[in-house]
Amino acid sequence: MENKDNKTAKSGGLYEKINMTVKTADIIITVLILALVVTVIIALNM
Amino acid sequence: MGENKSLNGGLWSRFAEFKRLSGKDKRRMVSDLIFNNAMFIIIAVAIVFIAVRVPEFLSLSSIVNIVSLTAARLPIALGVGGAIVLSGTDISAGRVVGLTACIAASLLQVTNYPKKMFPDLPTMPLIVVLLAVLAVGAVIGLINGFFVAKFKLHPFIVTLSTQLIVFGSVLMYLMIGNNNGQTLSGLDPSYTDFVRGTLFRIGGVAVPRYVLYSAILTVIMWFVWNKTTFGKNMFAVGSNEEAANVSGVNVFRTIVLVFVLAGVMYAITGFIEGGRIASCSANTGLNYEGDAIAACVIGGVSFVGGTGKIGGIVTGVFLLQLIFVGLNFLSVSANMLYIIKGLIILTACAIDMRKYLARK
Repeated sequence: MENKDNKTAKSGGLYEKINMTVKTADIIITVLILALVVTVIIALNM
Repeated sequence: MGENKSLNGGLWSRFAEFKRLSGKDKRRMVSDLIFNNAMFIIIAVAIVFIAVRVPEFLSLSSIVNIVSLTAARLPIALGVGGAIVLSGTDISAGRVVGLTACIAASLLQVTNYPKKMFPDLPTMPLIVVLLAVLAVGAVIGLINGFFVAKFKLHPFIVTLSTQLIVFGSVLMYLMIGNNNGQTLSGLDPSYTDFVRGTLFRIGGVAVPRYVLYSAILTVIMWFVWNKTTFGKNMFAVGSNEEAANVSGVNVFRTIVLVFVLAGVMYAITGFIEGGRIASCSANTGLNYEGDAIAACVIGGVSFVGGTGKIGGIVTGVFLLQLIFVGLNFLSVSANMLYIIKGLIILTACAIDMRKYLARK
C-alpha cells in the first residue's frame, strides 16, 4: 500500500530531490538576475 | 461588452481579495508575482532599454526580421517542448537539424554546380527530399524514444549519445562524393524559393514563406497537444508516469511517439534552415537545442513535467529572438552572447524551480 502511494505521488521531475525554502530560491534568482545585468553591462562596455 | 464587464469584475474581485489579505500575505503575493514573472520583466526592461538606445530596433524591417527568426526556430522548440513535458530533454535536436539540413541541401543542389556532392544525381523533387529528411528525423526520434521508454534511461544521456552519433554522421556524410567536407551550397532555386520566397509584403518589407509554414506547424502542434488522446496522454505521463500507467495509458508508446514527433519537427527545422541559409556545413544547427530549451523554459514548459503550452513556447522563442536581435543592435560581442544565453537559461530554470517549490 505504501509503495503504491509513493508511486502515485506527483513527480517533481528534475527538482524532485530539492530541499530548499522559497526564500533561498528567491535569493538565488536575485543573484542570477544581478549576474545577468552585470554581464550585459560589461558586454555593452567592451 | 459582456466579456469586458466580466473581465473588469474578475479584476475588481481579485483586487478586493488582495485588499482583504494580511500584510504578510500581501508581501508574499507581490513577491510571487515578481519572481514568477521575473524573466518577462527582465525582457520587457531590456526591450525598452534597447529601443531607447537604438530606435531602429523597433522599426518594421527589424520586427519582420525578429518574426522571421522566430519562425525559423519555432519548430525545433515545439519538438523539444514535448520532451520537456515528459520531464526530460533532448540535446540531440541541434545536430538532427544539422544532419537534415545537409541531407536536404545535398539532394537539392543545381545540376551544373561544379562542386555538386552527387554529380550524377538530378535535382530531386522537393516533396521527395522533404519526406526523406522527415524519415531521418523520425528514425532518430524513434531511437531516442525507444531507449528512454524501454530502458528507463534519462533522456539527457540518451540524447547526448545520439547527438554525438548524429554529429559523426554529418561529418562522414559531408565527405561523400565530390564534397570532401566542404560547405554545401549552390542550391536549386526551387528549394530556396519554396523556403524564403516572399509570402507577402508589409510596408515594402518582404515576409518569407517559412513564416507561414511555422504558423501551420504551430496550429498542428496545438491541436496535437490539446485536442488528441496522444496529447492528453503525454501530459499524463509527464505529470506522473506510474499514475498514467495505472490509468491505462500506454506509457511506452506515448514516450516513443513524443520523441518521434520531436525528430520530425527537427527535420522540418533542418529542411527550412537549409533553404534559409542556403549554405550548410557541419556547424549548421550548432547549439540550437540550447536556444530551444531556453525558449521552452521561459515560455512556462516546466522541467517538473506535465506542464506547458504551445502559446508559451511561441512567446518564449519570440522573446529570446527579440533579446538576441536587440543585443546585436547594441553591437554586443558574439562571445559575450554565449555567456548571456547561459545566464538566461540558468535564471529561467531557477524561476521554474521556484514555482515548483512554491507549489510544494
